[in-house]
Amino acid sequence: MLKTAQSNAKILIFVSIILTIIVAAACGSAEQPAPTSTSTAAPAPGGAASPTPAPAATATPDRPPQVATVAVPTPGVVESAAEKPWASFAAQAKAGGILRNAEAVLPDHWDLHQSCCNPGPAAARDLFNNLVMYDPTDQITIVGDLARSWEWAPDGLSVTFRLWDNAQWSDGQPVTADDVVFSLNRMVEEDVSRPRVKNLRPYYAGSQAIAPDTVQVDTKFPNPAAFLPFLAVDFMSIQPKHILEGRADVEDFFDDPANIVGSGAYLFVSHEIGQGWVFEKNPNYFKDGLPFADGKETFVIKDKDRFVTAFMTDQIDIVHRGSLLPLTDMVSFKNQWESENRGVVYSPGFTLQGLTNMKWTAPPFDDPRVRRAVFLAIDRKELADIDKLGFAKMGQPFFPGTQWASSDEEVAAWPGFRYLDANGELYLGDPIGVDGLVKHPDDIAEAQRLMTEAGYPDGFTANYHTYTANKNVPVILKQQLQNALSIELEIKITDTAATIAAEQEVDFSHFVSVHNGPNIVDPDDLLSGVYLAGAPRNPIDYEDPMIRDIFERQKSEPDLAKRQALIREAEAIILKGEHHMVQYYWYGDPRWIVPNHIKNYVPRQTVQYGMGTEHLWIER
Amino acid sequence: MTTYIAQRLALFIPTLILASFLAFAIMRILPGDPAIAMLGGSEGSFTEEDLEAVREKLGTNRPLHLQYGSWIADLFTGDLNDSYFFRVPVADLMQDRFPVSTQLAVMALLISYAAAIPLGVLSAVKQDSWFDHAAKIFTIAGVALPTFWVGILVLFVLSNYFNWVPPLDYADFWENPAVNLQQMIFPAVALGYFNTAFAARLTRSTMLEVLHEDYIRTARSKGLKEAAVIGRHAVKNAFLPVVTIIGFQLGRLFGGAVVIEAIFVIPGVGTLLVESVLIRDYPVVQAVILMIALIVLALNLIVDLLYGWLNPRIRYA
Repeated sequence: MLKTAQSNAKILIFVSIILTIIVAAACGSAEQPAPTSTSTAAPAPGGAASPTPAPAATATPDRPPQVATVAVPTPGVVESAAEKPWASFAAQAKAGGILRNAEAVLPDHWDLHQSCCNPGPAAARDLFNNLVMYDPTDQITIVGDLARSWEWAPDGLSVTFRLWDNAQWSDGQPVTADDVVFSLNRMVEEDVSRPRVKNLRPYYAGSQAIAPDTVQVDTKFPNPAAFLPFLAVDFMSIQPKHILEGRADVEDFFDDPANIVGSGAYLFVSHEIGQGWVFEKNPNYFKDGLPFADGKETFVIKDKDRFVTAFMTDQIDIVHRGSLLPLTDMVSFKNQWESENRGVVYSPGFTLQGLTNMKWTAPPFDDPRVRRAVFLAIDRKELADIDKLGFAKMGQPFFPGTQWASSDEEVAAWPGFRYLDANGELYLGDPIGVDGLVKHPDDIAEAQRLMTEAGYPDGFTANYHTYTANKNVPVILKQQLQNALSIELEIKITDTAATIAAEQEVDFSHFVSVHNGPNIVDPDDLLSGVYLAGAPRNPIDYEDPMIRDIFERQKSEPDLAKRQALIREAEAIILKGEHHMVQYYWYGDPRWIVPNHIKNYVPRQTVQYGMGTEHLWIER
Repeated sequence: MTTYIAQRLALFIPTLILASFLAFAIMRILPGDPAIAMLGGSEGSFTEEDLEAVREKLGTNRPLHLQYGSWIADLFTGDLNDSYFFRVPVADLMQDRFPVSTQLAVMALLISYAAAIPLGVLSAVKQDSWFDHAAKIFTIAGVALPTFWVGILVLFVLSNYFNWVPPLDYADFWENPAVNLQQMIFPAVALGYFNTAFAARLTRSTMLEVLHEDYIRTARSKGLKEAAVIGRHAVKNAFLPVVTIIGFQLGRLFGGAVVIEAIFVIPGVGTLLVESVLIRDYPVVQAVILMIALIVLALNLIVDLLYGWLNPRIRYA
């Protein structure tokens, strides 16, 4: 008996040890970011919990200032970049080291003219140059890249660029105006895939080399405000004419990055498919002193736990494009990372849109009253608080906090955007992250009235199709629309490819929900990306003729104040809530992990540009 | 024996045809479109015209029977087609990735059997001792815990308690064995844990059966040392059923590698498969599935032949 008891005790002790080890290992140390499995309303970053009006959005250390580029061309005046835009930071930089970068997504194309999305430039931007670029020290101002200066013609119909005369391709050939002409023409080619660079088509009329270092670019209409901002986006790379022109395999040649002949800060060394790629410093780079690192190594990491441990054990220096961490995990990571003073996890501006398309060509959404009812009934604050953990702004038509947007106070008074505080008073501020606010009952009442008027007093059943990463939204919406309008949502969640296929082929019954990420903070990109017929986020070509008219007038309006007034007009039309889509929120969640030893990093306004790393240096 | 092998090889053909059809059909039945994935999915900015241009380039706008027919015809010429996304021959990708996954699977198998057989044998010999109970807990946990969870656990233990994780930059075994083993040993352990547990349980139960056989009693009564009885008579006979499952387990290890490779950033066929499924890279997915099917078939045949060699009472005709 005694022996049995002793044996049982041994077993118990052993089991306890094993279980303790397993639990301890599973939980990790107290400092480890613990992924949370559920989303709950959380205070917005910097958001106040008091019912007083929130201050206007301002720059925080981990987010770019919410001001947009003022890119309206000024005819007749030379808009010259500083003599050497990089001189301001090159003097204080420290050279050396290898920049180790993590990437979760492989580039779709190394040829940026064919690349569809930001993994392309995240990989290849450092191998090429643009004509112009966003100033890496503020990520707002447009400065020259290959262009040393530029000058708009008095009629606003052409701009002449002067190039740096010491830029050269990695095979030793000089970069000339002919390369620029070739590249610009290639960007706007028809009948070939040009997913992003085709954004130049509405503006670009042609170009000609005036001299080896001078190129004149003609535009289709005068004073195209969005032309230079688009030209500064990372996809718009200048490519070597002498390598690509006339090749039968021109569309495939750079698919093998070993073939790349670039002018950029780094030179391609190797690429292991699915593992990563290695670059080395370009010793003949025309920007003297740049890049500061001796090389750049990118590792493809697809597992989020491996991703976190790579940072925690200092295997990786930076995530410069995006990570695969879900928002809850990223927030935990950010909290730990920053509390340990290891660095900063940056966010872009609020430039990504959460929205849903409604099938406006079939009942019940063929009735604009029903579309407006949904527009009014949706509780945007609740969606942002839960789904985006407060890292969002209300879904107003134009980029919040910028020169194109109405103020938080104005937005707070709009039907569909209104909230009451605990005293029943209208809350005049950004409601996201603020406790104790309720959606204005008048908005719900008006939505119900519209539904009754449209013949749906008892609601209807609707299908809501979205993709996995967006799965919280329909769950929240289901309850909102059921409570407010008796609309029963049947939720369909598929992977991203299937959801986009449903959207593009109009293979959805009622709602299809994706997101939109404009390239630049300019109304042109937003209107032509969402609101106008033919826009990617407008698969059934809904178009309000008044919006089209405003678009045409504002795109070449040289006076900023007048252009802003036109955008206010467009905003008023969109706020009728009768469009094909309803927008929930603008978001800019934390995504760029930068440790303290990486210097000269500035977050960008959107996730679509500023992916070059030539300006960064390592200083431990 | 030759007839038996020929018959088994002949059976490969319909099995592989079925596997090829399933691999082809499953990817087409799944919602989604490789052209959309190539245009960036939700991050992309494209129109219906862009979509059609890419579909035309890939050939995915052709009727399904034509797509299947041309794929099979190409297979017979040894052409696995090009990857839609990586734009390199699938055969090149397989050539790079399969050796890595094979190394991982074989290492996992070796580690698991090196642990499982002594564990099972000792558990049986010391039945109901503390060692047996401890081994039981270890093995039941191994069977119960999902492989991916074990992998994450290993990663976090290494990261939290040793501030070390395997190097990210993959090194080939023949070029840098030290780094390669640093990268492969922990995923192999994590991957092999289930097999260790399963094989140990099987070894224990078959050992217990064998230890009660008359010939064991006879061996003991002849005065043989216990080590000889166990080692020479019991283990050899208990080993037979364990051998039977090696083929099955190796096939399973290739499947389990899908997750473990992603967790440990190992550039094997598993990560390739996951990536390719997500971006609907049909030629890669089809080729990988077909190759895994072929490997499992071959392994099962080898194990069956091995079984006959180990147990002379079994003869194939």
